[in-house]
Formats: sequence, C-alpha cells, structure tokens
Amino acid sequence: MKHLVGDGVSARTKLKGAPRHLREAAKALASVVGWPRVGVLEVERCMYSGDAGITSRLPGLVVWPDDTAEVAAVVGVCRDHDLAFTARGAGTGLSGGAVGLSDGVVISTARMDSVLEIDPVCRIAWVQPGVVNSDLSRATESFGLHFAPDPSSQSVCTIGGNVAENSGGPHCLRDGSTNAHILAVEVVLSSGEIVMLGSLAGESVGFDLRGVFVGSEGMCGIATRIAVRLVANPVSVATLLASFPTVNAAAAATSAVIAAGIVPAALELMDAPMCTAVAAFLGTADYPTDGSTVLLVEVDGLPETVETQARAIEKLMSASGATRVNRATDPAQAQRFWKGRKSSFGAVARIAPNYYLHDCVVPRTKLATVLGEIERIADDQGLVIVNVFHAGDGNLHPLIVYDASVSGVGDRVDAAGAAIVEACVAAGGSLTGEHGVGLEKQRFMSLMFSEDDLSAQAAIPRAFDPAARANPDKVFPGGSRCGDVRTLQRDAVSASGTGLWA
Amino acid sequence: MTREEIVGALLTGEPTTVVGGRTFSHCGDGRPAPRILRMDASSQILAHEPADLVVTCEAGVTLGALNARLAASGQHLPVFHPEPGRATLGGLVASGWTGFGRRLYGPLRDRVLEVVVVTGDGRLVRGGAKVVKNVTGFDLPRLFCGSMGTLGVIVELTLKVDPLPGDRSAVFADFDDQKAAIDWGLAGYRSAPGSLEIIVDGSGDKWRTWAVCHGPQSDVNLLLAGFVGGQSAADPLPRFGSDAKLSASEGTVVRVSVPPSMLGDGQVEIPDGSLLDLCSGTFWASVEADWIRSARESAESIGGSLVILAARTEVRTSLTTWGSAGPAVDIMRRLKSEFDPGGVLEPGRFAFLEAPV
Repeated sequence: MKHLVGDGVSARTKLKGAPRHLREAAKALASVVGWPRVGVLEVERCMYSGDAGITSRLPGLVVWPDDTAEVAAVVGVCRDHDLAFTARGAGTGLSGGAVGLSDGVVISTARMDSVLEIDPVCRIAWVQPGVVNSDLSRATESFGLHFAPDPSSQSVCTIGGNVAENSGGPHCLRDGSTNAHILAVEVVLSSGEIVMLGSLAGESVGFDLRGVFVGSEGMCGIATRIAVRLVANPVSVATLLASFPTVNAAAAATSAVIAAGIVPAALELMDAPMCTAVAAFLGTADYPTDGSTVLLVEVDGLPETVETQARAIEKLMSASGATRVNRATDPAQAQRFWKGRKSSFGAVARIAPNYYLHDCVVPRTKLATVLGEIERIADDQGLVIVNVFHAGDGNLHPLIVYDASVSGVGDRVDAAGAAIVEACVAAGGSLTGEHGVGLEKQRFMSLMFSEDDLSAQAAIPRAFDPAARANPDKVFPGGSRCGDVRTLQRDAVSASGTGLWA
Repeated sequence: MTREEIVGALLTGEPTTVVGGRTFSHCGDGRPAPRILRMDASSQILAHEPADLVVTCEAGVTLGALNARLAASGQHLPVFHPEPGRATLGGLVASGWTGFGRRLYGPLRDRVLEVVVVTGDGRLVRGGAKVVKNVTGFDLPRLFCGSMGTLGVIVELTLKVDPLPGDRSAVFADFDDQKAAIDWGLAGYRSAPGSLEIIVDGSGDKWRTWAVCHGPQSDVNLLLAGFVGGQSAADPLPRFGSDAKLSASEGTVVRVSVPPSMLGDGQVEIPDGSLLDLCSGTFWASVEADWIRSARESAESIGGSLVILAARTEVRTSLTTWGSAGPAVDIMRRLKSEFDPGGVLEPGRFAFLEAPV
C-alpha cells in the first residue's frame, strides 16, 4: 500500500473545512508521519468507515504509521488532544470492531506488514500487526511450519486483527483459537507507553496480561509486534466429505466422532441449501444437490494415525446414516472440498444478493436442537437462512440471505438475528465464537452476563486504558464503561453508507 | 462453604487466604492471612458432557478425583502433578500450574473455559462460557489463571478435556555433559514432524534426556528418528509429575523460565541436578540462596523469570518470591484494586503489587 490517496494534496487543502479540534490533531499527526499518511479529506476517510459487517461510521481522521515508534507517537497525539483511537488491520471484521469514532482516529496497520524474524528451531516468528494471515504461513512454508488459526478471510485478514478478535477458523477445533498461538505482544498503551506483554519464556509472573490482551477488541491498546507460535506442517492429511439425509443426522455424526475419542483437525457442516449453492458455484460433483447436508472432516498428523482415524471416521459417518462418504484421493481434490467450504459465503449470492452472517456458539450436543430453532425462526420471519459452520466446536454461522431492496426486510433480518442469538444463549451457548462483540452484539451482552459480570469484565480495559481512549465504544452495552472518564461520541452508527463530518 | 458464605466472609473485609489441597501454599511473599478459606470441601463434579468434551466442577475437586471420573468416559484432563489426590482444580488454576505435558497437550490455561469467582469485595461473578469456543467480552478465566487468589476466590470452573490418548512412547539417552544432553534433545526435536515432550533430568549421576510422544509404532518411529542412539523405555511423564526429589531438597527450589532458544546456547547457567522442560525453556533446580540474585537478573534481562517455589522465610523475604512482574506491573496493580479494592485477599502474596515508595 504505497500510493496514498492524499499524495500530492497540499496541507492547506487538507485542512480546509476541518473542525478546529481535529485540525490541530491532524497537524500533530502530520508532524509524525507526514501529510500523505494522514487521512483528512472525506475521500481518504470514507474507505475506512466500515469493516465487512453491517456497521459503519466516517472517522474523524485516519493515519498510516510505519512502525512501533510512529504508532506510539500517533497514540501520543491522541492522548494530547484527548481523542479516541481505533486500530484497523484489513477491515475484514464482521462485528464493527474496527469502526472508528466520528471524532476519533483510525490507526491503520496496513503499512506494518513485515515478517520480522522466523526462528524455525523454536517455531516462533515475530511479525508486525499488518502481516496477512496466509502470507505468514507462506513465509514459514519453507521451514515446514505454518500459523494454525485459519479464518475464512485468511488471505486478507491480518495477524493484528486476529489478535484483537481472538480469531478462529476451521482448524482451531483441535489446535485452539489465536490466543493459544500468541506468545508475546508488544503493545502501545493509550498513554503512549510501549510495553511487552508475555514473553517467549514458557512461564510468566503475575497476571496473564498477554492472555487477556488477545481478544480485547482493540480496547486495551494497539499491538505493534507480535510473537506467534508456529506449528509443523502435517506429514499426512485425509479430507472427507460425507452426505447426510438430514441436518440432525450430520449433527449426530459430529457427536459420534468426538465420542469415539477422535478430535479432527477440522469438522465443518454445510446444510442442503448451502450445498446446492456451492455445487452450482463450483460446477463440480463434489457437493450434493439432492437436499443432503454435508460434513467436511479433516484429520492430519502422522501417517498411521491419520489412516486409522480416517477409516474410523468413514465407519462412523456410515453408521450415522451417511448416504455417501468420499475421501479426497489427492491434494487437488482436498482443495476442491475446501474451496466449497471457504467460498460458501460468496456462493449464497445465487440465492439472494445480500446476506447477514451470524456467529454464535452452542454446546455440540445442542446443535440439532438449535438448528431446528433456526429453521423455525426463518419460517416465522419469512426469510431464507442457510447454515455453514464449525460443527466440531459448536460454532454456528447461520446466514440470513435476503434482498435488501425489499421493503421492511431489514427489520425482519434484525429480528431473526436477535432470535437466533437468544436461542443459542438459552441452549447454554455464547454470543460469539470468533467474530467478536464489537458494535454488533453489544446489546446482547446482558443476555449472557449480569451487571456484576459486566463490571468485572470492564475492569480489564479500564486497567489498561484508564482514560478510555482505546476503541472505547465497543463490547459493553451502551458503548460505555462503568465510571466513564470521557464523554463518548454517541452518534448513530448507520447500517450502510457513511456519517457526515459535521 | 457455600458461595453465599464466601461472599459474606469477604464482605467483612477481614484479610483472607484461600487454600485447596495446600500443595502450593508455601509459595508467595508475605505470610498467610489469619483467616483461611478452605475450598477442599467444595468437591462436587457438577456436570460432565462427554460428547462436548466439557466438565464443570467446584473448585475443591482434586485432579485425581476428576480424572478418575473422566476415565469412565474415556477422557482426561491432561495435567501432571506430584500429588493429584490433593491438588484441587481451583488451586491448579489459581497457581498457574504448568508442569510437563505442555507440548503434547497444551497448557492448563488454554483449557479454562469459564470461572465463577467471588471477588475481594464480595461480588459473585461469572466469566467465560461453558463452550469450547468463545470470544464474548473479556477473558476473565485467563485473568484468574495464575492470580494466586489475589483477585477473587474461584468457586467453580468449566474445563475442556480430551479423549484419553493411546499409550505414550519414550526414548532416553544419558550424558556426562549437560550441554551434550541438551544438544541431543534439541537436535531430535528440530527434525521431528510432530509434537514431542523433551525433558532433561539432571537429578541422577548423569544427565538423562527423554523424548516422549504418542502414536502407533510406525508414527513413533518417525517422531523419534532424530534421537539417534536413544533407548526405549516406559513413559516417564507420570513419574515427573510425581518426582518428589526437588521438593524434598534442602536448598531453595526455584523455577527459571527463559526463551527456549537461550537454553541451548549456554547463555543461561543451569545448575547441577536441574530438571528441564526443554521446549518451554523452563527448569527447576535446588540451589543456594546466594546464586539466586544474579541468576534472576540474568533471566529477567532476556525476558524470563526466576520464581522461588520453596525456601526458608528469610530467603523469600530478602529476594521476594517472584522477582519483577515486568513493565506492565501498573496494569496489574490497577486490576488488583478493581477486583479487591480493600486488599482483603492474599495480602502481600505478590510483593510486586505493592506500589514502590
């Protein structure tokens, strides 16, 4: 990202028309990074209004620092001008975590995209936050290593974003989400101070600040250097695609695999409408179009173990009522199986032009029940809901597929989403398995947690950021924390389009 | 004690120490508070859903009791401890217990899905969820791992468990020279196509390096191929969980942790008789008190730590148990004041929480 929109535009032009309090901050930021790397014009800021979710808001300013020192200086400017800041990786988030405040500063890590150091013996790499997830694994490939967390957006999303959201992905079933793969984080706190949380050493002293920073949705500071744990590329892989007559049968098969003592590397479920869409999209016979639900199972590791597990899984699938069980005969076919899964969100465009992707978790044993609930909710609201998700860990991704041009559909989509969340929590689940709370699910936090629970959680960002400048309007209901020390901008977050720089 | 009784006890503001099986009670700065809250009687396993790989239990359930119950369903909590019949889950989590097995099974802190705690000011609080995947809000379970009772009393935990794995296989080799023992371990690990536990045991006459792994024989052969000249032997992991040599020693028992890359190149002095978890960069040793100060400075200067696990009182007082808590200690102090504003719980147990004069 070398050529910036504002290149060649004079400082005077940039400042024209800006409110006084942001003008001074803009000048201060420019003294750190230069005018081309401060986004002041609306055309520069509007691309940083939203993430991949439904919320957006035009930020006050955008800035693109190159390294830790610049991030610290930029955060210092925010401190000196009492401005909130929001870090942003690639903007692939789905919960609004990277949506800035309208008088706040979006700090983009796009230029901090270097893999700094790889230690193949100890299986550790140091990276800047803007490194793209799959680029990291590509950089470590020649050492026979990779970074395990593999969100569907991995060809675009950044490690810094993965840290902020504690991202998951299909292969987190056995290997854990991002938190299990981060050893240390260098963080710029809202005070401007730079601290290292965690270390490469196996033990730490005191409270696990590194552990609570991962998944803190940008509310504890900005990660500027990240030490990740790498894992060995597996020697053997077996990828299977099994078709079931009903969703219940597929869900039961999932439980059967776990009960048999096998934890696969990945275990994904796609329901009938999703399979049909994917089959049409891919144009292959891999995915059924006969109303079947599919389970995509992958085991990896050493050859004999993989073979034993693959055979056991084939038997378990059949015993659970699978009408067809195909094992990929070569890596190309395995890739096609996965392509179907990873392009599923795009494939639904064949059903309708818009979708709202949900993320919630239920105990595995409640999968069938909750899927039935979701079907009922779809009927109640007259909507199409298709399902693709990480069956192995109960992480559902219901997609409400609709046409936004239909009058009143937005309210029905919203109501369906709320009902889905309520059903999952009532089944003993959780609001979000990997996308985060952000702006999207703030209003549901009280479904899961009491006031005392929430105030205890709020103590964590408050301890890191007493001045409430780090992405302060996220996660907690009302966008505020107990005992606010700053007045937060409470302008409306629009579901589409941008706000105005008033 | 019931939760209500614990809440009531803490609301009195009387300084309080929490104990489970007392397997880690000796570790920490200061002295136990006059009032002891005993958690060992809260020992019910509340729920176990084998198909979810999730178990919920009261904090006083012992590791041994839990694993006995889980074994009936072909599952286990893969944690190794010298005294599983005494160590409670609440204590293991609160003390940040690691031990061996991290390479094969991951650390305990990655398995704590939900905690119910009573904070120092008597609030009953739940954090996390009873599901294996969850990013809702802030991670209270992780905050409580290793908190030594200073933020709240853990009353209930929900943990992620695993299916019982097949038998472990192991090879070992003996060396006169510490460096040769470490080099052999690292060389084998470097080329291994999967997970291994590498332990270097200096407690005998020679330095013995172990490589431990899972799997059927052909897979084990691949994993252990780099350990040239190793002899097969029975799985030593449970023995290292129960090896009492260090704790019975006369010297000061310390745990040193450094970046693992530093262990191999001689930058860190590893005393005779040490026990090393090679891939984690951690070792346990029984040492003279006057070795500790400079060893701790060395470890801290490379991002590590030296913690005194067992010592005479005057040693703990002069050197402090934990050393430095790192550059973010102010954040830790703020967390302490949020969760225990009255300083009721474990006063003085973390010396570094006291603000400098």
